[in-house]
Amino acid sequence: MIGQVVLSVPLTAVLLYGWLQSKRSWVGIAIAVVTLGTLYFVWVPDEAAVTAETLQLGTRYDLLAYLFVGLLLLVQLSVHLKDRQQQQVVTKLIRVIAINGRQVMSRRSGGDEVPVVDGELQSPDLDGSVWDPRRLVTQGAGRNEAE
Amino acid sequence: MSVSAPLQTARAPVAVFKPRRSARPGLLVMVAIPALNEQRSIGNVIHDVRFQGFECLVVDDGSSDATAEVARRAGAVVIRHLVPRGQGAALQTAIDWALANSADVIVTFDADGQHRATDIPRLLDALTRSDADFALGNRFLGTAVNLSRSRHLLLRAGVWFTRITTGMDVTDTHNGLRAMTRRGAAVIHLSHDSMAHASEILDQIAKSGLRWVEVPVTIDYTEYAVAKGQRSVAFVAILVDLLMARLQR
Repeated sequence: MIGQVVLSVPLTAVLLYGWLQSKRSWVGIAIAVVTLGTLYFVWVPDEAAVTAETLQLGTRYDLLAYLFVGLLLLVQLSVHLKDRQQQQVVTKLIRVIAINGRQVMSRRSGGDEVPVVDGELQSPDLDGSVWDPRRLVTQGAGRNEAE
Repeated sequence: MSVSAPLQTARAPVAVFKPRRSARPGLLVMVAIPALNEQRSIGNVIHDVRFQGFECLVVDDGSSDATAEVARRAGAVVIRHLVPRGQGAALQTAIDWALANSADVIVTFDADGQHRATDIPRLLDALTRSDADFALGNRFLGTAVNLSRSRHLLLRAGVWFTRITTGMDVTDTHNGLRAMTRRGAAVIHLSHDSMAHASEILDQIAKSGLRWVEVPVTIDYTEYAVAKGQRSVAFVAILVDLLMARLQR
């Protein structure tokens, strides 16, 4: 009984995680389903033994071990996919900073056109240097220090 | 869209290019070059491309060396990523910027010197002749100088993988030398920041239903290009990346 309660606490947490994720991804649904199945086999060990024998997975303990490993992999996949989404957001942000920064530099250097001298394409950057978004970070840090 | 009759679109209120001379009068061809720590080769690459009469747009993917400065001095327009995000990310930045600046044709070109600028006119001619929206460089129809046997086999496997996943009857894949019209570029939205973007481009071309054509090009596998290029094991990472993208949907 104690063992069942001890196992059920983290499983309930994982179930909650899966339920919350299910609105965003199919992996969340999979996590919730597998967790419910694991909880069922934790509390109904006889059924776990029968299922393990049917699936030729050894004893009920083996079945639970397989389910826990499966859950672990699903949670890991879910975290990876979330990280992937975050990375895509970061890339979009970096792109916006790069393109908008470049446009701001172009405007400052003389309106909406790149300066052309004798038909030669000139760099539209201020003070002849390359637009470097890292300046924003440096300038921001300097301001904070001054404050 | 025919290359000879580019779509007229609203001009973005930003930089407008006035090339000194153009190999294609009336057509703004922008050669997009993603670069990461390529200060050694980028100058020559830009010189070669400009010698052919095309404008260069270099997206410096957060290089820690003087790539951006060398590119600017060589006459390219340079956009910088704050931190490295990968070739795919840099390429999408280039496409976005080129579209916002009224480019009619965008050519993607590697910064390590493995591509030849003399192939660019061939790509443009193919677009015009075939009335296609994409001209894909093909090293197997052309020449691959110093291509190792192991890489050759991997690329062949990549071709079969692409054929199965996209349904496109391509004979080369993961070739960074390609040209696309404005209409073609508008359907490209790369979500793969890494090298898997090459497969994603083909996937999106297939889904767009736009016309594409393969063009023989020459790829020089110089010692520098091989050292800078992706390792063979990178193909495993690409496969995993593609799989994860499918799981994410």
